[in-house]
Amino acid sequence: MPTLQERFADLAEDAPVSPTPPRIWDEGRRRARRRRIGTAVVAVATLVALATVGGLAAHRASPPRYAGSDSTPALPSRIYHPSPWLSGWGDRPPGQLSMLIPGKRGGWPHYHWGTVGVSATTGAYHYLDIPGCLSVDGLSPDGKHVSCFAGTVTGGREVITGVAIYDTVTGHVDRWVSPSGKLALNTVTWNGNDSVTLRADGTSYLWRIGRAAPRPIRTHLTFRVGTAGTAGLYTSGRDGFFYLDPARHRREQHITLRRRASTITPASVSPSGRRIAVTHPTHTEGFVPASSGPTPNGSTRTAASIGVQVGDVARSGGPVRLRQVPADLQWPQIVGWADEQHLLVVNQVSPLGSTGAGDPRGRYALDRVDVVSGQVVQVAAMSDQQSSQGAVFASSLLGDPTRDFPAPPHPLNQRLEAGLVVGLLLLGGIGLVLWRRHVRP
Amino acid sequence: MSDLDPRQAGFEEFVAARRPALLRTAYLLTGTHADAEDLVQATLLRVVPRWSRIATSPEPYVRKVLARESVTRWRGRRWRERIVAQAPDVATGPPAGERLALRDALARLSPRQRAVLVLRYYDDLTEAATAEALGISIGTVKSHAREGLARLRALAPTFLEDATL
Repeated sequence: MPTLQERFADLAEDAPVSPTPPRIWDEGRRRARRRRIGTAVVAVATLVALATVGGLAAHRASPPRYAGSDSTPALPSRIYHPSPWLSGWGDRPPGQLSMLIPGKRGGWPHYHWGTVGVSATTGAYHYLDIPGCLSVDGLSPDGKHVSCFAGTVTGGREVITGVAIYDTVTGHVDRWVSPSGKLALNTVTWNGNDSVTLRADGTSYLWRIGRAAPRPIRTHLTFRVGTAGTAGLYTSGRDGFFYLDPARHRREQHITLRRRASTITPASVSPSGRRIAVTHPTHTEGFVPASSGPTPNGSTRTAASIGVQVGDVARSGGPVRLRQVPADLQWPQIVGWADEQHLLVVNQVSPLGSTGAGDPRGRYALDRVDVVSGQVVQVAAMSDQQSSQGAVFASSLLGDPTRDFPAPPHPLNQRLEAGLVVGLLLLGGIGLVLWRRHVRP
Repeated sequence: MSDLDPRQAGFEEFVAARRPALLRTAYLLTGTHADAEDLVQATLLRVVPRWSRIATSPEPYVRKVLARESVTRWRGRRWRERIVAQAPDVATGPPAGERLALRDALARLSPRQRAVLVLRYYDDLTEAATAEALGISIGTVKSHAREGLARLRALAPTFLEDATL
């Protein structure tokens, strides 16, 4: 009885009988060499591509050569849109800041809003990472302290419970939590360089830097609508404003407008307290913004525009008479006074001739306006609406000359970078497999 | 021959001595002369770069490359096991017909089943050596051998019913 092995052996007798092909050894070596060379080429190409991506990322993330931190503080002559992938200041205090710029900060799962602190001495841009702070609110007039809202995050929801003051020079953070956790957000403001005023639980407080907690004050703080020198400006009734004298915190200074004026905030009082500037709506014939349209009765509305008015505050405390500043301004936003005659505004400068507010194509600039002659001089160029609308300036630097600082780095999108690395590795791996299969003997 | 690299000389000596045996195994694995010659040729070409490492005992490595290459090549041809409604015709006839029936039955096995049966029952490798050659576990070798034999018997019952293992 034949075994299976014998059956197989019997079948194997049909196997071909042919002479050995010549030069198998040489051909085998040639193919092996070709395979090795191809493998090396693919591997080196992958490594070069990875190094290129790494180099590009490192180049874009590398900081420019900044001036020494001991130079004179100044506002930058050009304000850049911060990259979402800028690094943070981390644990190191940034030193004196010239301004804060809100920015969409990139993260792995999603973007979130952050605040970039711009160094007043080096011009460096980095996101502020203040422990315990949910969002940055304001900058002290000298740029050496930052106020922010403190709170907790529960289930992804932020709950603001108090205020924190961050010393940008030492990195020290003072926190105060309102007993009830109720904080009137739009009352928190700097009152000079060394104190913050705020209202919580229906009580107004003044918090001197260095003190453990704020002290209640008699003044009822209303809505903050601008600045008065280095202090906050609050609404007072229908036609007026008031502020606390930064030198004598409890003394209120009141300013009443001559007649009910349809002003638009922010408003600003000059450092001496003798002059006030407000923005107000004007009407421009023939221009209809995109957001407007026919009125219910069918007529076409004339477009609203924004102008700047200034008025002198009488020593007697009488009503202030406002007058139009004869300057060609597009949707100006008052920043503060450089001196008694010059006002700083964020002005829209659109090369396309557009005058619509918030025009995404528009360019912006920080301009100095002579409130008497109407002469406008650009102080700083701004890259876009984002960096102009929410920017907060160190008001004590508004009157000083600006300085050219190097542009901040523009790091590569980390998601893109990771995707490129993974993609290149995959491509390299696939290339290797395909090549080795292709030249397989 | 005196000018040859000693490694090359050893390789060519091995090829001269063992190529016929390799062709027989390859024929069982592939079922055609052309494929068997291609398979042996490819195996030898792949062995060359490693020859200096295996020169002292090349046979196990060469068998391994041969077996794996046959499975890989067959898969590369998008081998598909055909599902048939009826059992195939029973092989009958003279000895030449018996060979053809066995060859056809082998061709209907999966490449790995075929490789397991050829290595186990033609090359007479142990289960462990077969597993090592194909890069699979001993349990897989056992199951492939069991299923392969059952399928072989189903495909060629008359021919194999009297064959012993």
